[in-house]
Amino acid sequence: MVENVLEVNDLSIDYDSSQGTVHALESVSLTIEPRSLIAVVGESGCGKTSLGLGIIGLLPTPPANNVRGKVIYKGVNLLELDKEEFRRYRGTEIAMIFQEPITSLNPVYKIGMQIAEAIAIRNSRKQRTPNSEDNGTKSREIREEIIASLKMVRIPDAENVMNRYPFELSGGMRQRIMIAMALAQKPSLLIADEPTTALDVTTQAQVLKLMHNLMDEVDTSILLITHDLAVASQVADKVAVMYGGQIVEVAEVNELFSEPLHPYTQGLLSCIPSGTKRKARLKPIQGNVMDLRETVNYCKFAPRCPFVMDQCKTAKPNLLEVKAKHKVACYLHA
Amino acid sequence: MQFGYYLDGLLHGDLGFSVFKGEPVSEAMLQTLPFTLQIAFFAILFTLGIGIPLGVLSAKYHHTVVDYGITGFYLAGIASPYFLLALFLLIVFTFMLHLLPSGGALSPGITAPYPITHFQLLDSLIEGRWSTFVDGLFHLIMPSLALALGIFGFITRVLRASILDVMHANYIRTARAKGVDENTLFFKHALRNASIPVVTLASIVVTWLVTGTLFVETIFAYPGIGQYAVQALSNLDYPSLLAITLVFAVIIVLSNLAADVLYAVVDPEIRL
Amino acid sequence: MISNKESRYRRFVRLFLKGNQAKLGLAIVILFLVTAVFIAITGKSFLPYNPIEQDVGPVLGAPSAQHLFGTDNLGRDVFSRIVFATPNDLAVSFIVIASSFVLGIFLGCIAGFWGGLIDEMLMRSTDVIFAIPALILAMSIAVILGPGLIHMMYALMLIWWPPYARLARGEALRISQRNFVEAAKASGINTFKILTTHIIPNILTPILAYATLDIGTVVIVYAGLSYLGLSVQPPTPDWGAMVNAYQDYLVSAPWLPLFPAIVIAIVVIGFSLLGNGLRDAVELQTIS
Repeated sequence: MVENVLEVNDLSIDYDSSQGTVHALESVSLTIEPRSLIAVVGESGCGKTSLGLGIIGLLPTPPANNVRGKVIYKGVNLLELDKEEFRRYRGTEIAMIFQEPITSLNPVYKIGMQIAEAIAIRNSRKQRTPNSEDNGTKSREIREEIIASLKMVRIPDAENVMNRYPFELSGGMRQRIMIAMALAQKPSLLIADEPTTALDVTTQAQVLKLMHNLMDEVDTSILLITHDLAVASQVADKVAVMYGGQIVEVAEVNELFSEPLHPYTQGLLSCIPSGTKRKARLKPIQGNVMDLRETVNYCKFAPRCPFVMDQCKTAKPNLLEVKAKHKVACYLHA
Repeated sequence: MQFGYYLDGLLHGDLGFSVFKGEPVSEAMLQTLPFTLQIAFFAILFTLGIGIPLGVLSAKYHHTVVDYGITGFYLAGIASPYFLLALFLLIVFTFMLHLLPSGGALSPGITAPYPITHFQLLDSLIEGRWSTFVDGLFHLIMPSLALALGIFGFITRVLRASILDVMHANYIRTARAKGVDENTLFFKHALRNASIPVVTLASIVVTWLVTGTLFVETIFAYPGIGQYAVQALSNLDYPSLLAITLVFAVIIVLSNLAADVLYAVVDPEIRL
Repeated sequence: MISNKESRYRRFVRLFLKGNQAKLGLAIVILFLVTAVFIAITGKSFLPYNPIEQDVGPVLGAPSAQHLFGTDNLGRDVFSRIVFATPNDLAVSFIVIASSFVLGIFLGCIAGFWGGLIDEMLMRSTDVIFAIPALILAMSIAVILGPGLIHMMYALMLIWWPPYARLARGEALRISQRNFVEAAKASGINTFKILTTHIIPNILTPILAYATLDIGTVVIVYAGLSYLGLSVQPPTPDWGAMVNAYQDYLVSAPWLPLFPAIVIAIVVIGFSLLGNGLRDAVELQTIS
């Protein structure tokens, strides 16, 4: 039995805000297998970014506190580590790329140097023997690695790009460089938070395809955070739908799209504009996103649910496996 | 007409003749300018040496007692009139602690080195007169410090704001995600970006230095251009005053050019 | 519309008073302003001692109950002298700033609005003035005009406006390019009217913020010029001149040169805090 790369158990995160405590995540659990891509889908504010930050340990800790639950990476509960130990997992075991490629690279250093830094961190952690060779060989090796990583993300003219500054490159290229830099450290898990949202559609497709293909090449799993189900459908193996800080449905991608069980998922699917459908009208989901400040003892989606029952308003449904590898938190299927 | 002659003479290096001093202005300039430049050099050193670390500290411990203390300290410095800091230092270090000499470029009884470069410090080194060099240094400390204390606050303030700004930038988040440790994060990634706005302060610093030397040199009886200017003022020595104003203007323009160059060095976007 | 404006000002005042440094700054500034106005009106009458009269106390007497700041080398009461000199620095600063404000906005708006040759000329002249430090420049002018408080004020007024013109020009340029000004221009409204009704109200705030911080700078420069003997002549007291006159007594009577110098610093700190507080309040207001 292959060990799961990541197991999140009952992760809960609160944020302090001027208007009270916001429950960004409530008892979130999911698993990630090796070399698979799981997409976490949800609207803005549903907690998916907090999930990503929580796993890699980059939550801004003044506003965020009260992190409960377990994040088990290859058998180690990361939340029990102290800051310095946790840091050693960042980059070389778990990497993360973010939404705005334009501002995510340091503007005063060349690309090559920034990637070299990532490689150097990996080298120092793998504890290569202290360098007794001359510096010439080592820097040549690193240089070749940089070029290789740039080529891996299909960046043309890698030697040239290496010597450029971030502001000289386009958004799409910068995002690819981010991916290259993250993967150069050979992590087992790459968390991608809305990596393609800031890019145009064509570039989006390219980057997604690239990420998917790299998984096998680099032996990485990917946790893709997105608000766009269409994006998820293109590359995911498994999809988790989040609402109000909780996971409401998890299934393999084909299963989810052919048989969505949770009313929210169904609503999302009918929102996707599709040229092939007969109906020209989009069906939006009624109602507003709920206020995450309240702790409630009923289904958070109930106010907006077209199939709401009495039971839904008095108790919270748990995430249960109702079909093979298909979990849903809904009394319709309990 | 007269102005035309003056300009012509200017181009030939002739700054006029100071009736009062009984010697060509350019001669007086040559004798006094190097001294002021010595003070300026150390003043800049002190300014950066105090301003930058305090800026870093107040950013790191922002909104704590340390931060407020530093802020109060530099506000007092900036708000002080040119002469207050000099007088204050004089009282503390000369009269109370007896650590530093009260004025002049060298202690009485020490002969000046032969003016090869006209920079007294360098000349004493060239001649191998170590004790003269050290003595000259001692006389430089207070004037330079008096100038630095009045201006370092600008650097501290800008650096603090800049660091706090930069620490929230996305690329810092990326570096953290890469596993970079906090120290490297701060000194290599953040600081380099945070120093860019500080360069724009260069012209303010130079302007302050130029103006401040007038007062500081008077109080410390240091034989530089500032003292020359004040003397020319009280003697209504017009040729000297005109020349001094010109020289100051040139110095400032040159330093602005230097600041532009520095700006290009620090920010690659400007370079290309 | 009227009630909207009122509550805006009141809210601004409330936001402003939240800051501790703003309150302290305001307190200091009010203290000195009130003193200045008071002296300007009543002259020597209410001072403990006649500021010019000699031998009202011991020569070089230390601060005591009778002489709060001690006495100087001619037996004059230092406290009275310092208080009496308050209107000088403050009046000069305010008048210089006010005139620079008005002149700068006027020139800057014209340059920013019309552009072209006028703009070029303005920019070059400000460049020239910027190249020379304010104090040196004022010093040179004072040499020509001769010493004296009024002359010094004129000298400063002549050279202080460039930053305001630059600021005004920048803001005017920025506003000019916004759509509603284009619309106004297109509908043929009189240029002057455009300036006054559209442009000027929008550029006032940032320039005002700069002005409050600038007052402190004028105080320092004026004090420096006074120290150099270019302003009031003895026996009239003036802070900067007093420092110069007393600095020989630094060892024997350190309070003599220090007190006037510290008073100057306090005034500047007061205006700095006030200016900072105003700026913070403006920021807070635009956020909420």
